[in-house]
Amino acid sequence: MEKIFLNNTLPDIFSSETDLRSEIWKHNVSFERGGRYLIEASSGTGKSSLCSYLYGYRADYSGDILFDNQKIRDQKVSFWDTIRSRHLSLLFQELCLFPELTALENVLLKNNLTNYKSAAAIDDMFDQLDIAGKKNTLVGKMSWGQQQRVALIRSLCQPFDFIILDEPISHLDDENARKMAELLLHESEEQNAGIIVTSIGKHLPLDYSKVLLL
Amino acid sequence: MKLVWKLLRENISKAQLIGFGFANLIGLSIILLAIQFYMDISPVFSEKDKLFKKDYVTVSKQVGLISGLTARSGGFSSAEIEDLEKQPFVKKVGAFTPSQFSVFAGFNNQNMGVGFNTEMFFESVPDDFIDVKSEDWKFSPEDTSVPIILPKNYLDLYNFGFAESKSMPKLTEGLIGLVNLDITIFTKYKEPKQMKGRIAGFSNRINTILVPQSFMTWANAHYGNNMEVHPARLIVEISNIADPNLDSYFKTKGYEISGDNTTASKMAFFLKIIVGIVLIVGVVICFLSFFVLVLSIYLLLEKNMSKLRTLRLIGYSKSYVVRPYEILSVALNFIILVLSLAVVLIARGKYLNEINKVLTTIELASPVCIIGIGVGIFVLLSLLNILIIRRKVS
Repeated sequence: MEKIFLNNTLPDIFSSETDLRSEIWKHNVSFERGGRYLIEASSGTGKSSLCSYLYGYRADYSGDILFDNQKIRDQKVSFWDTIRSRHLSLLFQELCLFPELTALENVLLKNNLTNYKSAAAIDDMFDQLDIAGKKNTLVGKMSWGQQQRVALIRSLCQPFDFIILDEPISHLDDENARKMAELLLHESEEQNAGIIVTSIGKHLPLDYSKVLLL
Repeated sequence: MKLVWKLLRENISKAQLIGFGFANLIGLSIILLAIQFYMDISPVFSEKDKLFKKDYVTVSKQVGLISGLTARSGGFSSAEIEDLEKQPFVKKVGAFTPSQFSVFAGFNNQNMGVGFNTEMFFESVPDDFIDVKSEDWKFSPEDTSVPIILPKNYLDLYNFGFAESKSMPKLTEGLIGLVNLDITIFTKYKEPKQMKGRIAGFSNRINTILVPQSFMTWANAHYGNNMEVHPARLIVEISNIADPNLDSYFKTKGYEISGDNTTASKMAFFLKIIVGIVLIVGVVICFLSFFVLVLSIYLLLEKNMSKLRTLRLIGYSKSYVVRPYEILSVALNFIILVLSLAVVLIARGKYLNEINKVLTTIELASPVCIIGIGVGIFVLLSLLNILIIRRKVS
């Protein structure tokens, strides 16, 4: 997948609003592979909706979203299975980790599906993000900041053309945010992937090629 | 798979699954046992078994008040015979041919100085219907003697009734076979004809004094009054004595059947009803237990729905995440199939013991059929389970 293209897209919930000041909704926007995009948003502007549209679990919008030249609305279930495990990775705002599994088990749950990372590579990532000691701790007993790091590791355990991070550092200090940015950059450069980060306050420290206001 | 299973097996209620298993085990066992029992026992009622081997019945019309007083023949017309032949339970129909001449039979022994004479009658039926196999059973017009078959009842009546009470010697079939009867045939138009009669055997099946059909044809032609006579009695070979239609057919036609073979058909009918009721009960129980399983899986899916959704979002395919539930339900169904087959085979051993005490030789239906039916139900239930699970998870 080389390009994500938004063609006059608008969430149904905003259909009656007239004073929309967005650079994304109702515009033609394209995200290129290899680019780094920051989407700045205030609350309630449809940030998580955008992520869910792109990840195919909601479709309550007008206009079109295209992956390369393929419309993603009404795609089959199997299309999304492939997209989610081979082409597009998402770090959910709500993380979607399983609290009853350990940090490592949560990561392995993804990696067992994709077989993308070796055990050593996973260990490395835990090291880099300073949570190696928490590998065998139940996720339910970890702080949100720690969970955000586990979720990042999990989202990196797959091949991807684009990675979307929905408020990835909301609960992290600057030092940890920097480490996270470093790891993310390294992984996405390796795959020449596009990065799309959303933020309502603190930005993940990256050299963005484009900043868009939602 | 291990991690997914670890996630999804939470919230499984053992009590619910045991409840389902128990109910389904009872239902399936009842269904299979009823079918197996029916298959084992039904040969007893059909002609294959010796118990009801007498698959011949003698059919006559009821003697009513009016028809009884008039001497007019109340026999079977050819249309009635044809109709009878068309019935699905009828294999062959043979007519009793009455003699159209008078017969005197006597037994005179000069040496012993005894003798008696009696007026009597002959009847004949086609040879296929006769249960006495004798070389002697033939007649040609040149012969001066004619073979006769008497009902076994007559001999029994003498031996066990008369002879017993009068302390007279009993007669064996062989001994009677040595006796020659003097037979005289009378007609209005011709000289009486003297012949010898010899007793060729005793019949269990046919309750009359029989002579060969060939003799009867010849004698009726020579000494009869050449009138067309409808046969008053028919002998019918029945293909399936257990056919419930048999009894109702004869009843509506107003025919009487000799012998009481129709009990078999009544019993078979009731057996069918009882097995039917038991089957329905089994099916209902099975159905209810199936709902218990579906409900408990629904509940399980509902409790785990957010996990399933998350698994789907991190890229697991639908078929992958529903597999644990499919395996669970199929495995449960399979265990129940095996258990219920065991129950059926054990129970069958027990009732066969009891049956064998009453009936010596019954032909056993093979249990392969019941295993086939069990597997069929298992496949059907499992497919339904899988379908329901797949529809529930989107």
